[in-house]
Formats: sequence, structure tokens, C-alpha cells
Amino acid sequence: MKKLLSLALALVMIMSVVMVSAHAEGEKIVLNFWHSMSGTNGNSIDHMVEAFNASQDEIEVIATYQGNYWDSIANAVLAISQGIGPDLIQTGSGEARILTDEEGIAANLLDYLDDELPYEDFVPNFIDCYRYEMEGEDYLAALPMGCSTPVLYCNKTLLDENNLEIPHTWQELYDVCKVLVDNGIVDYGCGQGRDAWYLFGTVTGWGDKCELYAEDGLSLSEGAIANIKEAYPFLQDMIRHNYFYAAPATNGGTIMNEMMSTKKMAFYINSIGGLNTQETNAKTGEYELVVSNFPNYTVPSGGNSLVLLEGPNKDAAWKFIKWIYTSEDGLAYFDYYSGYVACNASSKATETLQKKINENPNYARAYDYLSNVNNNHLIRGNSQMSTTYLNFLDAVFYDLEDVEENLETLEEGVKEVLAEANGL
Amino acid sequence: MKKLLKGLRHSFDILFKIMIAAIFIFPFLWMLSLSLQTDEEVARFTMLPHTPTFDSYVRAWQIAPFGQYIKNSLIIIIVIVIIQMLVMVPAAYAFAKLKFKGQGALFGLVMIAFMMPTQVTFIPIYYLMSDLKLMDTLWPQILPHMTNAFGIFLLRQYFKQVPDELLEAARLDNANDAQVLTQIMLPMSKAGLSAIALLSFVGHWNDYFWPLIITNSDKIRPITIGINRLKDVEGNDAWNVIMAGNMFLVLPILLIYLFSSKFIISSFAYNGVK
Repeated sequence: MKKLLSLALALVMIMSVVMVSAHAEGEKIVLNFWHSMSGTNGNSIDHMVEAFNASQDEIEVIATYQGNYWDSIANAVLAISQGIGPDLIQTGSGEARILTDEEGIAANLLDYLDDELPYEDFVPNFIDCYRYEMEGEDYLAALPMGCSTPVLYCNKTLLDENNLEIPHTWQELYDVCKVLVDNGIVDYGCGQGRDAWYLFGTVTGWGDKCELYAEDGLSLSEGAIANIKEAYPFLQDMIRHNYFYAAPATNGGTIMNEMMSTKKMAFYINSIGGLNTQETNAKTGEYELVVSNFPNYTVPSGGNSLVLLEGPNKDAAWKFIKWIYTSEDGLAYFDYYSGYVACNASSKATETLQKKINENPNYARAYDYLSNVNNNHLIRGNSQMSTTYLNFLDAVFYDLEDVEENLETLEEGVKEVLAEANGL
Repeated sequence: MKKLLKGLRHSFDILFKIMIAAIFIFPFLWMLSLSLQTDEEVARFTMLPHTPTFDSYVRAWQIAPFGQYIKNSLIIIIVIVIIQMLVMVPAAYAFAKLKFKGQGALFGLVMIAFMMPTQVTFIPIYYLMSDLKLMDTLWPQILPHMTNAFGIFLLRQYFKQVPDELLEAARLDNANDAQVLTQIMLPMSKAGLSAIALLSFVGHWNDYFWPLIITNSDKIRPITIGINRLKDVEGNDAWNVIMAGNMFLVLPILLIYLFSSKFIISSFAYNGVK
């Protein structure tokens, strides 16, 4: 009997610890901010939020990591359906439309932008893709936040030792890699991760530049189809000669980082957000790192965006958003430590970012390529297209299957997804 | 000749066991090695650290509130194990030693629950927890695991092996069901109970997907979510830091197995379960 009583008492004590409840401190408005930043980027978000909370007494922001972009969207959909969603959410630039295409989920940011943070403050290529018509209304669904573009990381030391120039086009990349690989200087010329992102840039920038989708937004454009038919056999040829390395699906980044740091590879196509890691690779491998443009220049932007959700705390959330984009400890701090580029002029003009731009020529160079950003692929339905494109890339890059045969499958897949997304 | 063959067989046997052990142990040793390496060593794919450092452990600890996560994990798991024992033991005893109407059908339901993938129940349970206003507490990570069909099944098998004569003798001495359960069945099933408690501990310690869905704030998250925070969003992972975080995850389990391996082995050996 005594033992049972002791056990029951212990259980009650444990249960009381289990009952944790959230409550607002004092009179402050509590904002829930969900994000997908892990690692050091997550620390930057935490610092940003702490700085905001310390700067005023009205609002307390609680930032919570929600997993990767897809996990956070899934969590958000479940939570919003139960009325317990966040006040604002940072999600992938490609994934934002999963939320914002649904009526009544995201607030129209055009109602909030003002003289202190106007639309024109933002880099057009980053923000225009979030502005479209929703139920007849001019609607801004999200703001760009951590912005990145794919760039070409180059082992400049290897190039100098072999009297080679930094390539700027796919053909130039082919020619340089041919020299390096055929002469046994490197095992592979250029590596690239497994991501549909790179397909957008490759296709839209190839030959006669084009848009990815047709004007009606229901299929691939004719230009895209023509470019795929040229670009991917070209890349397959590069793969066969080891001039191009398509990284595996799992741990591709780790493998390519190791190949760069041990000089088994001369070039790496990756996000500018990975600059810090590439600088570590260069230090380990004792070579000069230079950031150059993605071949043929045209690039999609990537990274993440900020969505303000409908709810009772919108006005308070807007104050936080405005602070992020104008403060030294806001986006500027985040970009400084993450390697993302500033998506608005106010952030770029801060002392924090000007310092990085002045000190780090590779980071500064990334800004030169922003005028080449083409985000016109971010249409309704594009967010759901990832698997379709990856299936194509896997067949063409890993199995070296016939491009035109797989293009037919890709076209059908794209039409199907876009039709479904548009309710047809 | 026979002796030679026997000797060869014995040597091969030992070598084979060493190889199997090495295959299982190597990932843990590799994890430990990576966790002690510097960033440069990790970038160069180094087997053993030249200058072992605990820097990655410090960095990992600072990236996420691991103290809170570990505390949450321990509370969740201890409560789960206690509640499971309170639920499973009487259930297994009833299925093993009592005769009542519908026993077969009820046990069949338990087996159906055993076979049902948990992912099927995620969304309805999410909505239920939300309707009960429990979302900002640890309860959603505990209540769905109040019982364990596999545990009921296993315990039932243990209880079935206790001779009925013992129970009859106890009943002759006017012992009721509670006394039979606590004074005869449980002492004779210590190994099985320990094994089930341990398996439950390990299973729920490693739980990731359900906590990710059901928790929205750090104050109620378990350690598995914390490990995910160590990965870099751009795919440029600091593997030494990630492995250090994984050591936080794995160490408690390894310690438990170290001190209770005898229980586990004896529990499976006792009833011949392989």
C-alpha cells in the first residue's frame, strides 16, 4: 500500500511538471514567428529576435524552428486549420505559394508597406514574383528574406597555375574543365547539387534565353523545351568525360565540399548562401576562392521569404517585419552571418552589410549578378513541381537516359501539376 | 585432422563474430571520431582526429537549448513508461490468466493496433489534442503512447509461462487478483518487464516525426528535434557539430544498455524469443 501511495505521489509530481503552458508576460503582445533556419543561420535568427525584443517593450517575438521548408509548411497547414498557427512564418521562396495561394491565409503586404519601408526599397527581381492578382485584387503575398542565387565557386589558384580564365558560359566551362580533367589535374571539373533550382537557371539562360513556363502558366514554354533539348545532352556529354559531376541525392554537399577542399574538383555550382563553407574549404585546401556567375548568367533566386499571416496580431507583426528590414541587427545581421544577399536597399545600406561588402570581394561580386535574376517560374503550381523536375534530372544525370524521351514525361508531368494547381 | 578442422571452424567463427561486431560498432566509433575533429579535418575526410577537441560539443550545445530538450525527453519517457506499465501489466495478466467473454476478440483488436502504422493516426490525434487544448504541453507526446500493443503481447507471453498451479495455490490462500499480480506474476516476470521498459525507452527517445508535428515551441520539444537544428539549411553541414549532437542523443541509450544488457539478454533467452 505504501509503495502504491509513493508511486501515485511521484506520478502527480511529474504530471504537474508536464503541464507547461504559454502565457504572455505582462502586457506585451506575443508574436509567434516560425522559421526554418538551422545551424548558424538559426543562431542569427535568434540574435535578430533577441535584439528586437530588447529594443522595445510592446512586443515579444518567440522564434521557433519548425524543420525544413516542407516540414514547416506542413506544420503551418495543420496548425492554421486548428486556429493555432503562427503570426508570421519564414518559408522557402518556392514553397511560400502553398500557403499564400489559399485565400484568407496570408495578409496582403501592399496594405502595410509605407514610406519607411516602401515596395521600391526591394530588389525588383526578388519581390515581383510574390506580387500577383488574387480575387481581382493587387496582392503582395510575401517579402523576400534570406535571398540567394546560384553562383560558380572557382578554385582560382588551379586556374592560374594552368593559365586558364574563369568561365562565364557553359561552353567556356566545358573548355576549361576539359583541360583540367584531361590533363589529370582534377578528377572532376564542376560539381552541382541535386536541385530543380539549377534546372531553372540552366534552361532559362541557355542559348536564346526564355521563360520556363508558357504564358498561360499551364505548360513548359516552347523556348524551354528547345533549350532542354540542347542543354541536357550537352551536360550529359560533360558527365561522361567527368567535366561535370552531378552530386548524389544524399550528402551531395558533403561530398562536393570534400572534393573542393582536397582539390579533386575545380568548380562548384552552389548557393551564395554557402559562401562561408566554401571559404572554409578554400582555407583547408589552401587555394584562392573566387565567386563567379552561374554559367550563362541567368539565375533563379532562392532562399526564403516572410509571410505575414492573417490574425489578431498583424499590426504588431508588421512592426517586427519593418524592423527586420531596416535595422542593423535585423536582416543585415542575418545576411552578414549567413551569406545571403540583401534583398532591399535599406538592409544593404546598413553599416553591418557595407562592412561585409567592402571586406569580402566574393560576397560583393554576388550583388553584381542580381540583375540577372529571373523568378518568373514562381507561378501557381511551381511549388508542387519539385519531384517532377527531380525525376527528370535523375534519369538524365544519373542514368544518362535519352533526354527527349524523358522530356516528354517531364512535359506531361508539368502539365498535370499546373492543371491541378489551377483547378482545371 | 579433425582437431585441425575444429580449430579452423572455431577461428572462422571468432573472425566472423569480430567482423559482425565491427560492422555494428564502427558507425558509433566513426561518430565519436567526427565529433572530436576540427572543421578542417572534417572537410578533408579524416579517419582519426589529429588534435581531438570538444569544441563541437560546445557549439552544438549553444545552437539549440539542449538542456531543455533533454529534460523534456526524460520527462516524456519516464511518464510514458510508468503509464504503460500501469496499463499493460493488468491487460496482459487478463489476457494470459483470466477467462472472460470476448477475450479473443479483444486480443484481436490489440493485434490490429499492433499492425496499424502510426502515421495513419497522426492527423486525427493532432486535431484531438488541439481540441483538448493540450497543444502547448507535453501531454500530446505522452497520451498517444499510453499503451503499447507489442508490450501487451510480449507480457502476455511471459505471464502465460507462469505455472497455473502457483496461482491456484495463491488463491487457496485467499489471494485476490491484485495480490496474485503483484506478488507472483510481476516478480516472476522482471526480465520481461525490464525488456519492455527498455524498448519503450529507446523507441520513444528516438521519436522524431510525431514530436515535430505536434510541437510548435522549444519548451516542449524533445532532443531529437534539437539534433535536426544542427544541420545547415543550405546543405553545407558541419558534420563534427552534428555528430557531437548525436552523441548527446546516443550516450544515455548506450549507458542504459551498458548497465542493463543482462536483463535484455535474459529476457529474450528466458522464453526463447530470438
